[in-house]
Amino acid sequence: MTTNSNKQSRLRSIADSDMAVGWLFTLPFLVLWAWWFFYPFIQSFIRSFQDANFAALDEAKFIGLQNYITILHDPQFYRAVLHSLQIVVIAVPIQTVLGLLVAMLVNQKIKGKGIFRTIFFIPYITSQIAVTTVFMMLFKQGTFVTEFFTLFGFADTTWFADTRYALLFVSLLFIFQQIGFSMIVYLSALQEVPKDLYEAGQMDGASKWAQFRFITIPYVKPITFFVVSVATILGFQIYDQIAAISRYGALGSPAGATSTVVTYFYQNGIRYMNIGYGSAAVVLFFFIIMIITFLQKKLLDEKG
Amino acid sequence: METKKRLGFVSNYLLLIILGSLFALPFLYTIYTSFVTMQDVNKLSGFSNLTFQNYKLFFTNDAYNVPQWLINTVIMTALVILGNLIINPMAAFALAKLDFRGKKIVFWIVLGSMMVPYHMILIPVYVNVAQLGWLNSFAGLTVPFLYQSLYIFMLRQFFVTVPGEFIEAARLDGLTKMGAFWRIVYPLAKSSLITMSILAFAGTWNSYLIPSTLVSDPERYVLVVGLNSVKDAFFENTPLIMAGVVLTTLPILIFFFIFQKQYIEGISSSGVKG
Amino acid sequence: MRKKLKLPATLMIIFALILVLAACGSKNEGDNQTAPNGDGDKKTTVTMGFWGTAQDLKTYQDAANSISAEYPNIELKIKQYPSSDQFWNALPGEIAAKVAPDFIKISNEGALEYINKGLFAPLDELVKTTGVDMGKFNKAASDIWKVDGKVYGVPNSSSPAMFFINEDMWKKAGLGAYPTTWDEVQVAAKKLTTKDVYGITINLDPYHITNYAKSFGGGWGNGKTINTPENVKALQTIFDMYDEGVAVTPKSLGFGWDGEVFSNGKSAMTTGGHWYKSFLKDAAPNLKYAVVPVPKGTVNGSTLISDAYVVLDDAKNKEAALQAAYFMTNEKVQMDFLKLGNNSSLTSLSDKYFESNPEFKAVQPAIDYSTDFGYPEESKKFKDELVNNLENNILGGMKKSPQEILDGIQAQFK
Repeated sequence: MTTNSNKQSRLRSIADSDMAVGWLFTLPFLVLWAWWFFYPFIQSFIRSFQDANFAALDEAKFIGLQNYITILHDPQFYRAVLHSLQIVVIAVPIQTVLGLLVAMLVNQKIKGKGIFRTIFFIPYITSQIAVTTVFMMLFKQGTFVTEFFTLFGFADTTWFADTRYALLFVSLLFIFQQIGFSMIVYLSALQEVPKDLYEAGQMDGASKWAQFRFITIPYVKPITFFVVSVATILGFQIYDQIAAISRYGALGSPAGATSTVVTYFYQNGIRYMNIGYGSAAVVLFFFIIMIITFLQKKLLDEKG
Repeated sequence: METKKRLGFVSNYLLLIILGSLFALPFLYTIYTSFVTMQDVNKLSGFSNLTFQNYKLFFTNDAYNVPQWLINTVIMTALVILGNLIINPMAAFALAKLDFRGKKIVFWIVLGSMMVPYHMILIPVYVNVAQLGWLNSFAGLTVPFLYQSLYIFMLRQFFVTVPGEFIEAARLDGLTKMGAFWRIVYPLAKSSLITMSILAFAGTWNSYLIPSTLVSDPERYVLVVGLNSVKDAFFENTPLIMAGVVLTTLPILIFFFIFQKQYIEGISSSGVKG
Repeated sequence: MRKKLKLPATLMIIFALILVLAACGSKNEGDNQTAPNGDGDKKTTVTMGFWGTAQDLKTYQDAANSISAEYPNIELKIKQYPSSDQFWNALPGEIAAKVAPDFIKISNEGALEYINKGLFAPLDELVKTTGVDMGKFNKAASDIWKVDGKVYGVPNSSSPAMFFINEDMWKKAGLGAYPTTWDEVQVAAKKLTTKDVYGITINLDPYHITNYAKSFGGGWGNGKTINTPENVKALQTIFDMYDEGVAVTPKSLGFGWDGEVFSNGKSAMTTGGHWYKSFLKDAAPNLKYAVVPVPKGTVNGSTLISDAYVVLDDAKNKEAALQAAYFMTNEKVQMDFLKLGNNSSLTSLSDKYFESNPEFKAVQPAIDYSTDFGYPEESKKFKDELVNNLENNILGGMKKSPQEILDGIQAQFK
């Protein structure tokens, strides 16, 4: 009897301990992660120090840091990094702000909000290739879309065939699709904002803007960190859209205007079958995003 | 005051309608294109030339086993969501609300694994799956994706805002921390779990790279892969592809439309707030 | 408290690691693809990797079902890939996991890269031991699949590049005989260019550019002859037509490839190939077109596209793989492809092809002088470089001369 209750209380103390529950709860994730991510990743990481051809992986030669050295001397790599940064700098703030705005619009008590929510979500769930194809039909010379943009000083041209606009075209596509994602995440976060806070705010005579500024924004801050860093990571990883606009040419078409860190990896690692070199590019790419995410976390996620 | 309110209401609607039509346009154009013939692609030729032939092809040609592909997709998606509904919230809760040694490392593991393009680890993953004999099987398509770092990260950010008093109150009621999670936090997190399910549904349903690499038996294709195999060898049959896109997207739309109703302003955790 | 719990945590981690290792190691064996066969006698299973149309699949399935009549010891399986991209995505893993197909069909455009990487097996020895007859294929196709004196492919098709003309536009412009030289094309293109129509589509794609080069007696010489005067002249001709405003690249009109420009009546002429027939049948059934050989710059010259069956170096039974590949070139299978517009590589069927595809009759002589693409060993890199440079000029407003461009590329491919 005593041993039994002893046992029970010990079990209980385990189930109530941060250390035990913490590891127990993360264990399923960690096992799957080690098995399906870490182990494959380490293999690819080792490849980054090799001269490896996929037709004969067992014959790969160890070449030390040579792949990294070559990449860091390749001007195309820096061009790709610059393009990726440009996409992220343009797209991430816009999609975050619009995502929150749209989420607030469809969070109101209005008729047909379900339909509107669905509409805003559609671009995110439609295949990227399809959305790109349709955008390509819309953004070509002489359509009403490109003519509309001439109002803002853009030339009436086929955007994705023009080296000046192609990267912007990709950014627009990304914003367009990513808003649906941010909207639904924000929509869910808005559910968690206690309603009595707003009521108290109204009682104190706070304006709508003040309520937004001092209640909504702080409450969704952790989620904003999520939205921003995910958009950054996905922005760095844009591939399908670029592949679609360069379907019949070289990846990063026109003339490399849309080359990004990921297309650089694809081109060298997959297309030219130089797996070691491609892996090295991804490792560098990994560090770039890691640093950016780290800064974003410092900036936006003080709680963690 | 009344008029001002009404004005706000009208301008809200106007904004929604303008933004909404902007967002709907590409999909409407996709639907339109799925009903034209190859001759009319890229042209707005009016509604007289619309045809069902693209859809008909999917359901009449022996090579395209659309019902089977649909079933495969449903099974794959259901299994993945199920896993995600258990594994992700647990890890996210630990990262958000528990204080254990190594937590920071685990958190950066979560973030770090989102940053690698999947293509980089595709070859080792393929070998992994092949050695287990899981090629052309649901195990290969689902087991590696039973957790997803993206959603662990998302749920962790949601759980961070859950007041610590909840858990303390539960413990006063005699629950352990583990119990507090399953009995209190998990049910309360309904709206974020729905968000995750919707996103995971869309992501898995639409996934192409993995299923197209790990499955080579047309009987085991998922919808996206199957409908993409319909391409002609030399050129793309745009209307046919668009019909495929419409067929794939509709189920997600329905799923979303049903579950978005769960987002109702005002029902929130405020009641239990300390 | 903390100290006590270190142990269970460590145990859990160890448990997890064991799980991982067990899961990784367990099924290593038992997956070796042995061919279980009902009827006792040893059959060899050969897998063909394939991507293409449903029609092609049917042709291959039929062939697989009838192979036992010729090779009773072979069981042929067809493994379909959704697309060539998917094939190349899966292949490295398949090779590493030893589940790759034994032979595949690929085009000669860019095949050199794979051959040089050792992906395909040389067939000469196997031809001797299996006794298959490689003499039944036409010379042009056979030559293409011979690299450094070794045979690498069983040719399936051989089609020369072609030049397409929109017949109605041509007549309406009051033009006479169809052009045989680029000079004539240039003159005609000026007359054919109107407000909405360009005289000619010049897709900035290596396939098309290579044809211009060949017609000036140039070519890439597998990387050795990139910046020759002939190639410079070819590029100059292309740039001239762009400068005069009579040429267009599909991309600037928002199209994917040249065939779409042509089918939409946005250009009157274009270089192309046999696939135009099946495409135009669907995309522009009412368009009347004429087909002539690629016009001359200074000589008769164009590319030959030749699909072939190649045996993977990792194939388990290369002899059986070659036999099965060879079976795909029997007259029945070849007739099926021929009907789809693809010229057979069998000398015996050449006339039949032009009988059943009369619109291509004019290009029959071109088979004799059409040759391989001659890209450098790093074919894809070369193609990307070439396209990027041309796009930079045509779409990016750079003003590099053909000589500068080709010198720059030559420097990278010695």
